[in-house]
Amino acid sequence: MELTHTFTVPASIETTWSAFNDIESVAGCFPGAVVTGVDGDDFTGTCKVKLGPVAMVYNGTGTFVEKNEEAKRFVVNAKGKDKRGNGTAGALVTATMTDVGGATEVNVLTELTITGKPAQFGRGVIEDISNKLLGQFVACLEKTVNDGPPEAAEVLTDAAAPVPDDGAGAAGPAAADETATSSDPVASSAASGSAAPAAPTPIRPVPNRQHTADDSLDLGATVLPILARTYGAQALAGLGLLALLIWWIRRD
Amino acid sequence: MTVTEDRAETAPKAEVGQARRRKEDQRLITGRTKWTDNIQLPGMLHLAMVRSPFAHARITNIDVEAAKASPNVVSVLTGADVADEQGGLPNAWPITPDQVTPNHPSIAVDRVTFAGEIVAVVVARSAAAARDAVELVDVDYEELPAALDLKEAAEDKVLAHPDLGTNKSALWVFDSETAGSGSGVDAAIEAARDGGIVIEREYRQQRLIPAFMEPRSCVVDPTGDQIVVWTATQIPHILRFLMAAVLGYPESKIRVIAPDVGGGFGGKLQTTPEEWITFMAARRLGKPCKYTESRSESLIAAHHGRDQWQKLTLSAEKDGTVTGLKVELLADLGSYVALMGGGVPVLGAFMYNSIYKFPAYQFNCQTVLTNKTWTDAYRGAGRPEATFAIERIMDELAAEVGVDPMAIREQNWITHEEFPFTSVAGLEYDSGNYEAATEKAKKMFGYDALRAEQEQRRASEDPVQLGIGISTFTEMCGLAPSRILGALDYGAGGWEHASVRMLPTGKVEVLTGSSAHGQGHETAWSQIVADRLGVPFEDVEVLHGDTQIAHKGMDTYGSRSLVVGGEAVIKAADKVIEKAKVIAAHLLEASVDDLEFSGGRFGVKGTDQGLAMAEIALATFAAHNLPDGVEASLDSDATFDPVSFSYPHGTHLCAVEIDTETGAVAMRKYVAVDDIGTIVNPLIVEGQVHGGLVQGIAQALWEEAVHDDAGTLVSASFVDYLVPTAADTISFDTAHTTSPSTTNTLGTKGVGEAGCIASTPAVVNAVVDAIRHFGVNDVQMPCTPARVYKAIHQQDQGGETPTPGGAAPHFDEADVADRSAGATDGAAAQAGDHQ
Repeated sequence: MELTHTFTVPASIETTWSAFNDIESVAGCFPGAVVTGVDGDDFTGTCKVKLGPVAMVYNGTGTFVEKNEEAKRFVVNAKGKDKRGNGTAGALVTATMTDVGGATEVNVLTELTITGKPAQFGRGVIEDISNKLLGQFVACLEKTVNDGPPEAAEVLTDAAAPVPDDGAGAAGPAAADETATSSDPVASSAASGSAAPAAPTPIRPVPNRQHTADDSLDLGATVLPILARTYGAQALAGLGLLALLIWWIRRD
Repeated sequence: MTVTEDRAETAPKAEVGQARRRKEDQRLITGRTKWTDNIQLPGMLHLAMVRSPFAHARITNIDVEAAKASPNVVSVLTGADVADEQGGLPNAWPITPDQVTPNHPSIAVDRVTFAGEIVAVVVARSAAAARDAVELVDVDYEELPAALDLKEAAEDKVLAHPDLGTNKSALWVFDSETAGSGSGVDAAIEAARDGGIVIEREYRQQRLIPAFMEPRSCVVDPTGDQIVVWTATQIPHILRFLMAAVLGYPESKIRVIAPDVGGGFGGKLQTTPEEWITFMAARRLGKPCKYTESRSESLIAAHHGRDQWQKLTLSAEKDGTVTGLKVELLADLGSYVALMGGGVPVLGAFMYNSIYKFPAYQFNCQTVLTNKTWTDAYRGAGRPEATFAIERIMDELAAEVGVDPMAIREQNWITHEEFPFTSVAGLEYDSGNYEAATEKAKKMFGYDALRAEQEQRRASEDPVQLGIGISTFTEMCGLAPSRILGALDYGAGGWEHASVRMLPTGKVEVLTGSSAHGQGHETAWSQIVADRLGVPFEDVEVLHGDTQIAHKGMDTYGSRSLVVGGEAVIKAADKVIEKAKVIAAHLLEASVDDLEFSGGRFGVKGTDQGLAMAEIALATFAAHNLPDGVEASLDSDATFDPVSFSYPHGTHLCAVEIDTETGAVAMRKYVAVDDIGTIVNPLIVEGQVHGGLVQGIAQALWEEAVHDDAGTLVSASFVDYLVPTAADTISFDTAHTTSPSTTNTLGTKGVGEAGCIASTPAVVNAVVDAIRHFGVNDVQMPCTPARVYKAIHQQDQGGETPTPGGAAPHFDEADVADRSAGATDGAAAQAGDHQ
């Protein structure tokens, strides 16, 4: 499966290039990912992913197969295997940077191969997920480029804000669509809310609270706005009801 | 006189034809079912499978240490451990002498060939412990390119089994010219190209999953003298034979029991790796072992069905009289040649000509190996594909000629005066009356009124268009005459065995080799025997599904049970009567010729003297006064081998409404008039027809097994694989016409597959008929809203106001264009299902 993303970093191409060469900070920006070791152009790391009831820890290795200073292009090849045999994930990432008036436009082409349970149950939404992930990735990256290395957790802390009272209202199809890219809090909470009718994720009123504790990425939560869109009314009705309930419980 | 009057009163009214409630149901629906998974044995161990996530990969290393160390784990088996003893899973039907057949290990040894193949087995003291330990088995793979697309695989671009050098397994050809049953098809087509009509179409039979209700389960107990195998199978007798043959264990030391089995639809007409593995594990460990699959394991690793490309060339005269039919099939075997394997499409070879009088016919079937789950029999096996193709292309012919699709059928079908009729495929259709069934169906359907409404909606450009689909089908069932199977190189015969035992108290035990898995044999067999022997329905006990009780049989599939197994029961019962007659004559001190048997009583003609069957049974048991040289037993066996198939037929009419703005398909009306000969139990028949209809409609509208570009099955749960519920369908209007079969005593024909075979083309014909005026002549199955919408707008590229992809992901060009594309297409189907 091929994914293409383009985003702009508000920094000079040199700054961005060097930032990208600091693999730890770049990888650290990827939700759920942790770099455990770097050796020249090779690195090892883990990526924790939750897809509803399926929890995966991908242990893997990556290599900069190409670093082209002039063309400002690099190619990373990463392969990982879930330590519980739930499948494998591989990505061949080609990033190209172009100067757009001081800022830097980064074009990322990803050849993604996923096998096993996540492919079985999650493939239909992977593209949407990756867009959302990239949102978090870029936000974090901006921090890196502007004010040095980030704490990987920070991104997720955002994503894990508690449910706002208007959670129900904001979760219409359009809203879900828009939250998928911008307003994380509603997205993730709405997500976990609508789990009950729509997806295998069990009902957890404020799931992301826990996620701040562990640094894994809950695709269940990420996926659900999209599922809500795909599965339509029933899901949203259930979700509205739940959010309302949460709000009501909170009040007293 | 008085005597005969009494006789008339006491004579029980005929059981055959009565809508008896199924005697097995009270137990089945009150929680007293005995599934294989219910079986608990002392010291029983549980198996769980480690399955490959890759469609095609070399196994470079398997680390089982962590799993072995896991709590309550007894053993972990890999392919290497059992390489010497596991042999290969059998293919009973090599369709050609030179068929390319890869060895099929139950546990992959050095290479996995589809995503879901077993690479290791964990044996533990509890099912939970086994499943947990599965996650600790660390397997290293070296990925290999996978052959996934059927057409590309047929070109040997990527090899599913590199060592075989080709993906082409076998090419099976039938030609009416060489067979002498007709003329040459190529000549007919050439002739039609000049002045006549030639219609060329290619249809897709999507991959389906049998999706039986009870997931497969197997228990093996090696602790006795005999190894006892309980398994959720349609074929206990065939399994016993093959286990002995393949695993080199004495057949007499194996007892196979199929307890209550929760549906099969062909999906349990298989000898599975899981059965082999459970058997090997139990033998190695000397303890009872159980394996029960999860639902998604069932969807991934239990065999799939259909998956063909069907290229058809039909030639006809200008007026629509058919002159020839040429069929070129590509059939996807998956990664191995299963038990029936390539035989499944071949079962359709004689049915493409269907009820029509083609003078020339040719059938070519190329079976192809790919890196996907292996395919095998699925309800109808070969005949639904044939019926779909011919019924679809007859509609195309009607459109070409410009007449009502019913007219083109009437013009070409076999009329009732012409029976028995020898078809261009060389089969002799014994009986049938297509006119009668069609007449009845049209009346029930209100055919003309609906056609008028369709016209009116066309005229008023109603956004909701009406379509009418016809399927005038026939099928060959009652598998099968052993001679024919032999001629087709099938590995066994098609006979069936039965025994009737008279117990001293007058009760009757019927043993049948045809082992039911939900069809209601117990009830139907009881009705038949009650009539035959004149004993009460309640006094008949039907025993089956255990090779130690019903020791001989060919089991249940291909709508064979009643027409083959039922006939064996009748023959056995008649032998009982013959034996009883001799003893009755002796006891009545009359000549055998003076005896008449009716209503379960032997009477001496012209007198009121007589003996009931029960009295004779008791006398035979006591054996105090038997004629010299007569055995003290009435029990009788019979083995029946049919001389030919039986040919049920019928006319199915379907009306659908299509919302041309969304592509949503809604069923409006469905009428099925089936001619299945004499009906033993109308209630059971109704159930078979309804179930079959829903399964066939599901192929037309909802079900599809979808693999992603890495070969992972993405429709591996009932969220994505859309088995319909009652809520998704409508009420069917069913009726019957009756032309009794001339090839068996009761005149019965099979009904198990009829509904499933006939309904798919009826629905798709209706869908295409509804939108043909948009220039549409095909919609690929399943006819999801996405595909229907795309078909409607294929000229105007999505209409004036194309739907924004974001608002309706399943309308994205990519998704809709690539019809085999993974889950997104599934999503479309979902959306369709949720309309």
